[in-house]
Amino acid sequence: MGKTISILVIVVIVILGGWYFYSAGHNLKQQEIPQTSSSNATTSPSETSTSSGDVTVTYTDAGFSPSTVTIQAGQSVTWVDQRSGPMWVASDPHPVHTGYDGTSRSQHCAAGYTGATPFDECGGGTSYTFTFDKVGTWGYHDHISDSASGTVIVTPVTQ
Amino acid sequence: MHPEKLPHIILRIGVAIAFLYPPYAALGDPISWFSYFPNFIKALPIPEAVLLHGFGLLEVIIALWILSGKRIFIPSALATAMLAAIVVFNLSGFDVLFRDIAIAAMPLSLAVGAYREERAHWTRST
Repeated sequence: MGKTISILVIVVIVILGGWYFYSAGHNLKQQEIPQTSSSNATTSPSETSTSSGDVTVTYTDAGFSPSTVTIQAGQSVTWVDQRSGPMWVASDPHPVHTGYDGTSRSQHCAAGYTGATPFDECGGGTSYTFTFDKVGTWGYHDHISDSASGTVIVTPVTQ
Repeated sequence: MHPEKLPHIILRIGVAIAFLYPPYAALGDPISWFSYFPNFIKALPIPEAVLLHGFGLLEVIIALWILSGKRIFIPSALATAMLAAIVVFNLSGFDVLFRDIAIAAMPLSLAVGAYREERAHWTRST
């Protein structure tokens, strides 16, 4: 009986582990395909690019669209809420939002905060724009409904 | 105290802490904690505060029941299921919530042990 349970537990762990690594690998492949956002480049189906290079992400009941965007450092992303309720866009991880600049939500959303503008809406709203100065891959989510998430890939400025 | 009981007590205290902190923290930061609820729960015609603090009350009951050590199969099994559900319905936060899988091993261990003890009790009483 004990042996059977041990084998069952191992099988479950292997299945869950395999599913997790498959999911992680699939997401990683999406993040490893950076694309330039210049006007001469072909825009992938995963991005929306305006002539200024800034990007708009719409937020519907299905989530953020596009879920992954690629911009250059110094460019902005604007999130537009098209659902019935407010959104609160913020850097991962939930709920501390420390991923982008290391400061927590309680720090950078506090009244009188004088540090760099955080990647955190710091409250519910229907539209939010943030300018990304740091190169990297930045995950974000809706703080009000953290199952909705997306990624902003920031690449170095190309001349 | 019998030395064999100490690990059991430590496990129960650990699970209790994991289930007492969220309802306490939710009192001060309900938005953050309510966001963990899956969308199909949020869509129910029940006020957010009722859902959140009602769930918190359930967590407190589970924690105190497990702490008591009395017939803890039911609360331990519930605790395991709740922790697993939190992970399943918040996979986007798995980088943080993976710890809940490890934490779930504690009430699962308690449930397995309690099942053996309580089954013997059920058998004797029938």
